[in-house]
Parts: sequence; structure tokens; C-alpha cells
Amino acid sequence: MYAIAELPMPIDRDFSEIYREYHRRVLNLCAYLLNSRDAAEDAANEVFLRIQRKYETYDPALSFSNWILKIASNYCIDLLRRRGLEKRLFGVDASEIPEPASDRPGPLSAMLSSEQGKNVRHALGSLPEKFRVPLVLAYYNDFSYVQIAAMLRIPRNTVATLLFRGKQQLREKLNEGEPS
Amino acid sequence: MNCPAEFVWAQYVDEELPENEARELTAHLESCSACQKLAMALNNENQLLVQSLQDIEYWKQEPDSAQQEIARSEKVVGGAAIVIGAAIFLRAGAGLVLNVEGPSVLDWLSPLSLSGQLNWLANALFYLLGEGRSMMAFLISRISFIVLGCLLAGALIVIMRRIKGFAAIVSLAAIMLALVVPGYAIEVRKGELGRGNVTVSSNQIIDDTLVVFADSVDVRGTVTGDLVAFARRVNIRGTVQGNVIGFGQRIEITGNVGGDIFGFGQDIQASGSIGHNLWGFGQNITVDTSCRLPNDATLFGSDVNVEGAVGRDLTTLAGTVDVGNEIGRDFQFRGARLLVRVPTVIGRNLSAMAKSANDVQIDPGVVIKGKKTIEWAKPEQSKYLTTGFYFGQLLWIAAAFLMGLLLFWLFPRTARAPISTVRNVLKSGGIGFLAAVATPIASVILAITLIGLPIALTALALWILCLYLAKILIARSIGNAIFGANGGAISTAVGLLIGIVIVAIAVNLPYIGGLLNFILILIGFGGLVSSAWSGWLRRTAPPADAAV
Repeated sequence: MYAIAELPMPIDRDFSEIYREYHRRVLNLCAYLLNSRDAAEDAANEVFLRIQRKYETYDPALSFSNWILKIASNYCIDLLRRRGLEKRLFGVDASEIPEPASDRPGPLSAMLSSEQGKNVRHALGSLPEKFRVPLVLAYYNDFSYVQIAAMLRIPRNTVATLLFRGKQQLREKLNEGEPS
Repeated sequence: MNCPAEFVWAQYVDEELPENEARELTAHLESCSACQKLAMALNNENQLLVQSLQDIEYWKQEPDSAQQEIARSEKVVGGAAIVIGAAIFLRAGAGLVLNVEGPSVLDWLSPLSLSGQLNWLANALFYLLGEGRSMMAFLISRISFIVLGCLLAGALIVIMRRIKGFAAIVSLAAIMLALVVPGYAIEVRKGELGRGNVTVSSNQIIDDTLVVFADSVDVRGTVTGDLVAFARRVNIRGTVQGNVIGFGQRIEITGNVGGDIFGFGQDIQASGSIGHNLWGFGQNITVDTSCRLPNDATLFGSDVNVEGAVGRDLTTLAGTVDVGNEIGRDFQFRGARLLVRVPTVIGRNLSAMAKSANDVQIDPGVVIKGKKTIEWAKPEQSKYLTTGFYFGQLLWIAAAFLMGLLLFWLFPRTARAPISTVRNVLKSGGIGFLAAVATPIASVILAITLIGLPIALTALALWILCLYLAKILIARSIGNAIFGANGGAISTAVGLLIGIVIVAIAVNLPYIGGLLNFILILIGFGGLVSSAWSGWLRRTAPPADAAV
């Protein structure tokens, strides 16, 4: 996976500094997960309250940014769960195991322009929650399959499937918008 | 070794395969150029994803899609809010028409025949607002006042929470305009500046259009353009060469007006000279003997007195109409009571529509040069055969549509009220029933304690608001079912409109309409309560399972 530059571990930094440093990342994460900027702002505020409250429980042996992103992800996933009520949010049944991708569009090319970045984000926003959330956790948070599986309370293999199918859908959406 | 599936390669580039498996694949890569290409492409794709998502300047560059939708709907709502103002006046007029038709037609205003409760609530409100504004009661039907009041408060809250934009302010201003309160000196644009009384003295000439917001406006001099006046008293003794558009408690015209007069007020009195037409909307409208009116007069009011001559057509839609002078062409009457006295001469036709024959009294000496048609409503006429019914329904649809747009714009969460599955519908219905029954009882108990009176009144107002909004929520979920919940602003609005039309038809079906109405209200009510509840939950205590 791709490492985000590890941020130095805070030992006795004051909270406003933490806020300044991580606010945008947390806000972006919430926005991706909740798919709404308004909701993200509320959520980010709540997340920082929690970070403050749980600060004592932080284990300095672990990455601080990972810890923060985990709190934020958990909070947003919880919101999504409650929004969907009893619906099984991230479940996937056996029949949904991916088929060979022969007739599907191939992987996206890595030419990143700002325009393409925008398109990717837009396509991501239009994906169903069950694909969007694992993708964000994996490629924004840089979480491992196991971590994601624990968060979403689904088997590890399902995470792999959701990510795979999510990317396929993303390709389809992007190819729809812009036939190459 | 066979080439592994793309699914396997995807996990390989995510570095998520067990070590031994990964080693095998790495070995395979060296011998298979196809897989090499695939793995490379997948790897690049991952990079693209990471770069796109981790672009930290995300928000600066683009609003998210929900935001864009809001921006679009803001435009829609900004326009819609202006229409609301117009709708209120339409409704005020409709109130008069519908009153004439009989109170049963007013049922669309009160989902559970609340007119009694509404009355005292509205009266209490108006009492609190003070005597000077009592005329509002005649201009604005009671429900829309309460609903708009609450929306006004909602809009204020939204604005205070974050000055979100122009549209909110525009709609607020439009609503305030619609509820324009006489007796408030707001400002004088163009012309002179002053609070309280604005006077154009007799030797003064204003060479432009004059727009006045003041307690009283007195024009003794000359205004060469139009006069637009919002004031408690509007008095025109001098000359206005253009049109006069007046909103006020009392509008009195003794001077000269070159164009049309549009008067909205409690008392409208015309005794001067009017160049073109007179349009009057008010409680008491009087056209004096001295009034010179060469063209048409169109009057909506509860008491209309036409002592003066009307050059062309006279059209009245009013409670009581008293006519005693010459009418150049046609005279159309619709209302409760008509009295035509000598020396009335009607140049062409008289057509009158009232409840019964006794309500139309035409003195023996009255001359009618054309046809005389008098119709009266048959008492047992089905409501489905009256135009008023359809007019009322259309108004309801229009009002509900605008209210819905405003509701879902101000409180987007309500759009996701959980009424999409059978189970949720039943649950919402149950919650709705409890809330609909419990709220009035609790309010009465609270009100008895007197200390709880404000809470009781608030709860009751909210209750009435929810009853009104319940069907709009149902309409929205019907719209969602048709167009999907996450469509753009246009499909949302169209969906809402279609939903409202379906609801309007459903609740007016013969025999089962009443029951359907009741059920829909309960479900919608429940949905509103649940979404408000979950919104509240979201803001409060953290759930235990969100812990790290």
C-alpha cells in the first residue's frame, strides 16, 4: 500500500495544534465517507471532540495519524450505519464474487491531471456506500484489508471483493463520462 | 502456471497476499508479459486513486456534488420564495371565494379539520402581534401565516448558524415582504428619506417613481412616475401620473391618478379621479360618488360599495356588494350578497352568482340594457363539480410544492425520512399516530399549568406544522421512488411535484380519500418525527461502538 508521510508523534502538543494539523485530512475523510460537505463539517467537529476525550487512551507506539483517521472512520461508518438503519451496509453475498474482467474496462491510466482527479472524486461520490467506504478507507486512509474488515465487521475476503468491484464500477463510471 | 485472475493481481498490488503466494506471483510476472502489463496497470490505477483522493486542496477546488445540488436548489428556492408571496395573496383571494362556496371546501387547509384549534391559535398570535396588524387576518389565511412564521424562524436559524448565502436572505426578505406589516417605517428608497410620515407637500413635484415604506404616506403634490407605497395609511390628495400600488391598512384616493390603482388593504376608498383601472383587494372597498373611473373596476373584498360610476366593466368577487350608479358595460358579481339600487344603469349584461335567489336583490327601477343572468349554487352539488374545489386543490399543490422545496432545502435531512420500506412505513405510521394523538393531549395538560403555556403553544404550533408537512414528506418519498433518492435538483423537484399531485388525487378519492388522507398524514408525521429524532441523536452522545 502507499504510505502517507508519517507525521511525527505528538507527546505533549496542545490540542489546537493537533486540530490545525489534522483538521483538513479529517474533514476530507468525513466528506468522502459521508458524501456531503455539510455532514462532514459536523462530523469533523464531533471527531475532534472525541480525539480530545480519548487522548489519554492513545498508545504512542502506534501512528498518531492512523489513530486519528481510525476514530474519524469509525464515527462516520457509525453514522452511515445508523442512516441505513438495519440495512446490511457492507455485506456482499457469495454470488457477487467477481467474474473475470474480460468484457469490462481495463485499469485506469495513471495520468493524473487536476481534471482527472476531479473526475475520480466525482465518480467516487456516485458509487454506492458499500463500495465507496472501503475504497476511501483503503486509498485515503491507507488501511489494510484486515483493519477495514474489522471496522466494517465483514470478512477480510469481502473487503477484497468490495475493493475490486468498487474499482471496476469506478472505471465504468469514468469511461461512461468520457469515452476513450 | 496459469495466469492468475485480475482479482488476485488486485490483491497483489495492494500487498495483501500471503507472502508465499506473493512470491509465486512475482516469479510469474517475470515470465508473463500480459500479467506484467496487468499488474502494472493495476498499480498505476491505485496510484491514481491515492493521488486523487489525497489531494488535500480538494475543498478549495470544487464543491461536492451535494453542495452543487444545494447551490442549484438555492436558485430554485430563491425564485420560489418570491412566488410564495404571490401565492399568499392568491390564497387570500381564494379564501374569500372559498368562503362563499361554503366552509367544506376549506378542508384542504386543515388536514384533520382543525379549524377550531387553528382559530384560537391564530387569534392568540394576532392578539400578541397587536391591534395594528389585525388586518393581516383578512389578508392571509391562518395556516399559511403559522407555517410561514415557523419557516421564517427556521430560515433565521439557518442564517444565524452560517450566513450561507444570498438565497436564504432573498427568501427571508420575500417572506417578510409577503407578510408586510403595516405601521413599520422601513425605509424610503428614491424620493425622500424619513421615518414615520412621508409627505409630498402640495408644491412639491417628484419627477420619478416613488417607493415609500413608512407609517403613513400623504401625497399632496405631484409624483410624475408610479407610486409604490407600503404604509399603514396611504393618502393621495395630489396627483400621481403613473400607477399607484399601495399596501396598507387604509388607502384613500381623493386626488388624481393617471394610471391604474392596485390597492391591497383593509379599507380602500376611491373618491378622486382614476385614469385607467381600479384593482382593489381589501376588506372594505368603497368607490365614492365623486370618483371618476373611466375604465374597469375589479374588486375583491368582503364589503364592496360602488356609489360612483364605472366607465366600463365592474367585476366583483366579494361578500356583500352594493351598487348604486352607472356601469358602462358588463357587471359581473360573484359572492354572498348583491344589492343593486336605483339609479343603477348597466350598459350591457349583468351576471350574478350567489348562494340563493334571496341573496340577489335588484331594485325595480334598475335599468339593465343587456342580458340579466343570475345563477345560484345548488346546495347538494358535489364538491367534485365545483371549480373552487379544483382551484383549491391546485393552490394546495402549488403551496405544498413550494413549501416542500423550502423544507427540503432548509432541512435536507427530512428528505431521508425512513419511509421507504414496508417495515419503516408501519413504524412511521405507529410513531405518527402516537405523536399525532399525544401532542394535543400533552399540550392541553401543559397549558393548564399555565407555566407550561409557552411550551404547549410551541408544541401545538409544531404539531400543526407537522400535520401540514406530513403529506409533503410522503410526496417526496413517492418522488424518490420514481426518480431515485440521489437525483439532481430538477428530478427531485419534478419528483416532488409528481408526488404531491399523486397525494392530492389520492386524498380526494371518493369514499376512501378521507381514510387515505388520515393514513398518509400519520405516516408522514411519523417520518418527520423519526428524522427529527435521528437528527437529534446524531448531534448528541457518542455511540459506544464508535470507540477505537
